[in-house]
Amino acid sequence: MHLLKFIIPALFVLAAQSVEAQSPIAGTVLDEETLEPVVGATITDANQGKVLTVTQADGTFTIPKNNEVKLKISSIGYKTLITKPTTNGRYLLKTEVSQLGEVVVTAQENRGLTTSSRIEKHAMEHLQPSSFTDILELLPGGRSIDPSLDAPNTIHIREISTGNSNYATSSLGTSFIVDGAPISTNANMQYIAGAWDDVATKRDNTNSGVDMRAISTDDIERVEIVRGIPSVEYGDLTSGLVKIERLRGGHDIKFRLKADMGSKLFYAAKDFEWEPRRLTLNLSADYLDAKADPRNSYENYKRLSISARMQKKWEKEDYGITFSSNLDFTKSLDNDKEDIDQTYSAEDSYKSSYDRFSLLSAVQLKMKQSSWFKSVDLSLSASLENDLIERTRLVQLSRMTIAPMSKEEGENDAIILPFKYTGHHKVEGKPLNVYAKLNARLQIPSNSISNSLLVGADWNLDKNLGRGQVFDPMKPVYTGISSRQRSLKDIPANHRLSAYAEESMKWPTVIGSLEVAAGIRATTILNLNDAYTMNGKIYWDPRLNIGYSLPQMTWFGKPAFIRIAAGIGQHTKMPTMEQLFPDLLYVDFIQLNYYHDNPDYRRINLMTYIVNPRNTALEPARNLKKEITLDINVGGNRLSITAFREKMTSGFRTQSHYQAYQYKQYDASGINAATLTAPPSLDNLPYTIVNELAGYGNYTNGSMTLKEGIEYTLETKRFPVILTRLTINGAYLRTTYNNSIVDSYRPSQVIDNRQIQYVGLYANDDGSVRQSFNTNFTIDTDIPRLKLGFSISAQCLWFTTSQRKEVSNYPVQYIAPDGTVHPWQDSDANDLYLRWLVRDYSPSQFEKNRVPFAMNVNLKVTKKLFGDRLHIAMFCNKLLDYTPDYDSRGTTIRRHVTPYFGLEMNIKL
Amino acid sequence: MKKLFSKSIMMMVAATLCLTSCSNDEPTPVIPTASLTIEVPANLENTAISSGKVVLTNVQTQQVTTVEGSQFIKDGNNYRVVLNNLEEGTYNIVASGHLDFTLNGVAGEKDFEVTSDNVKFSESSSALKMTVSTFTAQGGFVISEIFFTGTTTPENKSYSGDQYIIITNNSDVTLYADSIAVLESAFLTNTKQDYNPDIMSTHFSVQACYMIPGDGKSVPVEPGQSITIAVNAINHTTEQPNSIDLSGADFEFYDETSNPNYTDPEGAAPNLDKWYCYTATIYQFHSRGFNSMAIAKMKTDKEDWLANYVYDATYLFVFGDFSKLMTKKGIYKVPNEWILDGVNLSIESMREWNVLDASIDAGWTFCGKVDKDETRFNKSVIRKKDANGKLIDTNNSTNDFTPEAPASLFNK
Repeated sequence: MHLLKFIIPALFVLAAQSVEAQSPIAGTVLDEETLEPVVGATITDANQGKVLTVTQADGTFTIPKNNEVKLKISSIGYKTLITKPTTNGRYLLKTEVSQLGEVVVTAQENRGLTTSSRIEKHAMEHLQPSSFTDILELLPGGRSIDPSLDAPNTIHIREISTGNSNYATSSLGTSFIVDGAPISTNANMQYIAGAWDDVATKRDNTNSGVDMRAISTDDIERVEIVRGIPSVEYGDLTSGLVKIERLRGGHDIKFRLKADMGSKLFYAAKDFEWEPRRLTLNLSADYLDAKADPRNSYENYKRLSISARMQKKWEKEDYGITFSSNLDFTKSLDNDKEDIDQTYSAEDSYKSSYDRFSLLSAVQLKMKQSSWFKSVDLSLSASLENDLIERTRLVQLSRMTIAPMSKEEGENDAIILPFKYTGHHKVEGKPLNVYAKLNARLQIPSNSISNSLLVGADWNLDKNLGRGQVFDPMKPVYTGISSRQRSLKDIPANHRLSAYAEESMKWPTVIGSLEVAAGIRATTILNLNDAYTMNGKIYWDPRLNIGYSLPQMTWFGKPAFIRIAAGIGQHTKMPTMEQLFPDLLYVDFIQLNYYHDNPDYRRINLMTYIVNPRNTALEPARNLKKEITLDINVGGNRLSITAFREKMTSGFRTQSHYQAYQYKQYDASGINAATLTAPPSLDNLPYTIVNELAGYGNYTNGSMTLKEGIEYTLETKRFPVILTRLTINGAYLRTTYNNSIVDSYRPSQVIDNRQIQYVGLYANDDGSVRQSFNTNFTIDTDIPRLKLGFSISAQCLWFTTSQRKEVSNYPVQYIAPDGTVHPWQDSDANDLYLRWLVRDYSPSQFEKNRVPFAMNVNLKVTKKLFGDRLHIAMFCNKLLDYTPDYDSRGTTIRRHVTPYFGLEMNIKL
Repeated sequence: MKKLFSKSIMMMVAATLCLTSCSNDEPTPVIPTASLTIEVPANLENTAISSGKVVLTNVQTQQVTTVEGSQFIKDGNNYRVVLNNLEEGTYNIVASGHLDFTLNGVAGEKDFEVTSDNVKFSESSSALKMTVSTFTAQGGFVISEIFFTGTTTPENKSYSGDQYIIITNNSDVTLYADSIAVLESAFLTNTKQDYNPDIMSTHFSVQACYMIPGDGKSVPVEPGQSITIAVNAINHTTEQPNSIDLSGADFEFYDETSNPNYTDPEGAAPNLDKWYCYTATIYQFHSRGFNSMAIAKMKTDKEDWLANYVYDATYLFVFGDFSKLMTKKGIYKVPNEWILDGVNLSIESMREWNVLDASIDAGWTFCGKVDKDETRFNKSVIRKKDANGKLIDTNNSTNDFTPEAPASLFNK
């Protein structure tokens, strides 16, 4: 804040000087309905027809002092206003098509240059969401799905996800920003090392981005989901941006009670606003209790959010200062415990909790007088999580098993676990994120082009202060664990520094107006040692959006507007902490496995190798987006079509590697069990040296995700008599996944007492193409007189297809037991051992699989009672469906649809 | 004349000889070449008699004629004993010996002793037959018990290291268990697929083949005796009080590995020779019993089998809203003729088909009635016995087995 104290007066002095020098007439042009600035409106001398100036990004303009002048203010989409100027006047423009008082219950295409969906409070009230996941139904290509709150929900914008963790960069690379503060998941290390059971692995969300279950929707005033190319102000993303703005001000006491087939939600809030003091305070809390299966109370998900948000404004003649501060707490808790009455393993349980405290402070200084300097924003946010996974399991071993103890490379005697114990495994993560951002908006004074220059920088720190995997090595829950405990504090903090500049221009001319937003963002990752390729490297993200609006036309007697916009932009997502600093792997080979009835005489001798799976050549994932949008508005009926292509060739994936190791294989057959008085000695035991291949995985940039498609939205005006509005939206999406690197596979078959000692190497060994085409027809009716609103949405999925990329059954090379690599010969397919490297994909597995038409009809109703104080809503998704049977290669496939419904009550006092 | 003379000389000599034994009788006629044929059961192959002996005792004279086995002439499955210059008369005959043979390809052996009393040898009945009827060599090795469910710990968790299979010699001859393989089906009885090509009528598709090692005659099993093959031949009760002491098992399924996640305890029992297994992890039986089991006499060597008995099947896989033509590799096949016995396992609520040809097993047996039935543990499928104590083998395990029987090796 010291810095700010110095900067503000300095800037003010500069701004004040320019005001005095020109002494012009200043004014602001605003949209009459939204009171948002009208950018690029042309100010003309009404008498002489001479263009004087255009309004700037904040809607302001200045003209030389002239008492006689009469102003004509015009802008595409607005009714022209002719008025006399006043000092510091506010000029309100009426839109050509009034939307005043309109209740919009669908997502709306943003009117800005980037393609994004805007979802307002009304739409959310009508949708009745339990978590942020439910809102995504409103995006083009979205479709209502039943909430599944028993596992993390990740976002997939413009994508038909397979759920494959090798293609999770798309969700990892979608940035969530709440009131200006990012939700960072870069230091999320909440995975249980060695876990193999579904209860633990299905809730592992590391390297997959934000878990949307944890985002409560109740305080949200507005969400903007940027599907296209966001401003360079936003970084560390590849695929999308979700900007959440929460409510500020008001005087209500609000309660919300919601129940659906799987969850219950309770929300309470109190809003304060002291208008004369320009101070607001919003306090809220919500609680969600969801069950995977309503009959099973032992597997559940709970969320508690508490939020306090204040804002204070100081309005001076020449400048305004806004100070905002948020304090938030979210607790997200997954529970999965065995039912004591139903099963025997009463002690077995899984619990995963995320406690997130976050603090945001932001200050904005906005200059009111027209000058080159418009505003400066500084925001600081910090979040500290207390993440804890606790897994307890009664372990009863079926055979002699070793404890994961040895931390040294070399020969060692393993510690043999008892056959029965209760294992506890904890994962303690304390991710700390600190984020600071400084933005300044400048403008080059111009009378013909409205422009705004954004310059800024941000710095992000991710550190994990937790202890990581915590367990007693003598009581491991998962015995096959190949890593050892390490404190997460020892992992260096992840620092990311970015700077950016973006020029936005609007140039109104008689042949239409041209808008350009061109920016560049530079990002570097700090605190990495020299070994990493990324060390000291700067990654540049140039992004460009251009729009051209035709002059206003008249179609069918109605005002018509057409805009064509196109964009291209590069996006960069840095690897996460886990991807940069994975756990060391301990590769053990049994040299002697001696069992004796007497536990004291047992012996397992190992050869331990330590492998560091760190890939220093790892680079950020980069996504190049291109898109073109056509936007037609005829009398308030708007059609927007976007074609896009996003290619990310460097997505993160795990690649397996094999190498040869040597160990001694002792021959225990000569040991006489009856005469032992201690574990058998190795000294005179015969052995042979054996080669063995063993594999490990590391992170590489080998995943390609190509997203192509067409998104469309048609929104009509509300038809007067039937009070109904039609929204048709949907998308054709085509997602191509591809692995660009060689992958390896070792058959697990045992031939003549030994596992096959060869590893096949297969080129480009994974991929698929998926397509879907959907249209949602939503009619919503709003009857103000009855305070009744309802919507019927027919969600048609015309088809979906999936097709695996054809991969060869034959390897390109193979690794022999001694680690040497050999090219594959055709004759190898007849070799007793090598022929197992020929895999058994049949051509039909690469055929396109097509699922034909399916339609669900959803109904939502809202009713206001008692002077809007009580608001009752219900929804029934899949109330009706049309999902005909179809034939797939001679087999009839039957599809079943089960309705999902819920009810909620909102009280406003 | 000369002929007559010599004949009369011979008769005189004979009469003189006769006088010395049977006083005052006429000389006993002698049969120049009598023969005795020892018939062994026709279902035996590659028979060989050792220590053979035929002893003929003349009832009148108590004279004993002995023919050693070295003089037996093998004629197909029969052995002919040529008796030169046998006196006509009534004899008590004892034929004995040690018979080696193969029965359905399995090496076997049997000491035999057959007697025939008051048998008349004369000029007109000089060729006699004796049938070795003290054994029939019917039956052979059968699976008498499969304990595939495992036990439960005091905490009621399942413990599967104590699974075992018992093979019993159900014949009345000693049979050798060497080179008999324990086979596990590649296909599941709860998932029917139309595999193409369909080889079930000629071959059994297997995902595991573990063979009893030996030189062909290393593992004799007496009639009615059994061998126990344990997944882990150790005393499980030292770690798991509810389990079974299998340290006395005859063989074990041992999985040699360097991977510490799959430590297989090696008991004292000799290990089976692991010809092929679908997995490099620990081998265990399917604890719900969705794989059928069989035993077969491997009639070729390991190299030949591994190289030449591969089966690549295709089938149409249907799941939810998609179907795909799949190739299933990693299947080996064993000709049905090699199979000595097989048992289909399944459970009623899940069963879709039998994966053994009906000629091997036309039925199926089970432990547990629904999927993941917790009550199945500690139970076994055990072959029934008939009134004579013989195991019933009608090639229909629905009839031949007692399902859900308490495992027989508890408290032994």
